[in-house]
Amino acid sequence: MNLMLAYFDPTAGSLLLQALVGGFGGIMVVGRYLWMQLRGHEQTQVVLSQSQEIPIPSQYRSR
Amino acid sequence: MNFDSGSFRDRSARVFTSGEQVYRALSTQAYANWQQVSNQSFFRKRSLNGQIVGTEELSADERQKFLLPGSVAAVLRHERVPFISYPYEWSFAMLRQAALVHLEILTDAVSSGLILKDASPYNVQFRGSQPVFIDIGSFTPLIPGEPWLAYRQFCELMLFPLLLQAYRGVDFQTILRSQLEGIPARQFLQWMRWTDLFRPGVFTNGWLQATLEKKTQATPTSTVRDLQSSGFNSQFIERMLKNLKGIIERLNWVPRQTQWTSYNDTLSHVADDGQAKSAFVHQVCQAKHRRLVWDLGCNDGRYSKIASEHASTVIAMDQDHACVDRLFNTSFESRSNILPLCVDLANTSPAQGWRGHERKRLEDRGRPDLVICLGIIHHMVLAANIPLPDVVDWLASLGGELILEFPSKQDAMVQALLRNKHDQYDDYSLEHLESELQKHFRIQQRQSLPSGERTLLHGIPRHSV
Repeated sequence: MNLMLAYFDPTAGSLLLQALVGGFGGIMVVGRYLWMQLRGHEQTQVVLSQSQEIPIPSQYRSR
Repeated sequence: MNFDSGSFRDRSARVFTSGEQVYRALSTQAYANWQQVSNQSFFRKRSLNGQIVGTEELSADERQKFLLPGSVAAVLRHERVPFISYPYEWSFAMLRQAALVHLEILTDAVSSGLILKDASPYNVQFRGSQPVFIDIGSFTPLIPGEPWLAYRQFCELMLFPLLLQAYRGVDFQTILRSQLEGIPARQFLQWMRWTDLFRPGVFTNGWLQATLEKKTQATPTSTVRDLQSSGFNSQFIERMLKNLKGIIERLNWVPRQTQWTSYNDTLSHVADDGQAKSAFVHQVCQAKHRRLVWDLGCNDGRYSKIASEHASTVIAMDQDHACVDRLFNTSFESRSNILPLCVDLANTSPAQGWRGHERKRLEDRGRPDLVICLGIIHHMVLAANIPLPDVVDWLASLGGELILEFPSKQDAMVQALLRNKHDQYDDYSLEHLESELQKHFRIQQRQSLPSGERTLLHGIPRHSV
């Protein structure tokens, strides 16, 4: 089994779909996206949102 | 003070309870999001009409008593929802309403420059029969060019279960109970016939999504960033939300007639005893106002309705999906305080999810003040084969008063249950029932019904006498 499969992002398809069903403008977006993939541009490192974890104080931990 | 064991996924807006109150501790970023959303007119309007849970910010003095970590920038206090229920206990119409409320709020949010980072039906609860959105921490700023990241979650936990029920008659509750993350597109398609591809929502949201997921699973780059660079904008999200709302609004599930959907109308002994039962329930209920009443085996909800006039909230439970759906539709229209749920009493919702703490047992979500148990005990003892003392022990463990109907072995419905069975139920008698009840309850009242084979009992827990 390809170990990469354990890390694949299954949301990629659902994200592309949102453009694909967006009429002519959406198809243009997908076209540009595919062109970028074909050009094989640099892989992007992206942080979608900044996580600011609120730790549970030790006195409130039940376990 | 207790941090909610189910709110760990959102690390920036944790929920905790203290006494009867529900709070949410916000990080600096989550607090900035709250300040942005709470100033929006759609948020204020939907909070006022009850679609978004009532929320207020604590003053610095008020929050000091909680001794929270320094990373907490603010604390919100939420209105307490009377009873937490889960999508695997809802009927089709309930999940449909939850999905519609979610889409309506999300549509408003997107047009105000915000988005919901989750699309989970667990973020919608029911105040009586009315849906209310509870996850204030889910509102985040809409980043220009970023798609709706929670779309797939919306499909797996709301759209696909609804389509399965409406198009194929597959009860979604059992699937959602075991698959807490929902139904993946590929699994959803396995239930569909090829002709269903032409029905609204199946081709695009099901087949196309599953195909794209397969094709893009090895994509090494960030699809979000690449779509941003390619010119994606929020109009596509708005168009998709409008499309999804249209699909779900048109969805309709017409359940087949079951033996329970016309139970109270067709059987003469039920009709004869019905009036006496209604009077008995009314008499017990009107004696005092109760906060929470459970009606077990509610069928068409006639006793729930009587109880609802004298209680803050009535949880009406039945294992028959069609009955629950019908009761929800009438309760929703009349905005009543009845919350109907699909519950198999011989197999109630367990504690599950991460370490068994994420989703609570049915019995751990609020102690009923009164339990109405009419026309049920013979099914539990004679059909589900649960020993009578065990049934009584469970009813007592709920902690409330009890109205119980006991049909004798001579009752026509009991004989119907026994007609193809060896009668191994020596413990099934009124005398034995009463002796078991006496261990936990003081029997306040007993009354024979006109059919002559059924008895009503009203018990008060001994610990409260």
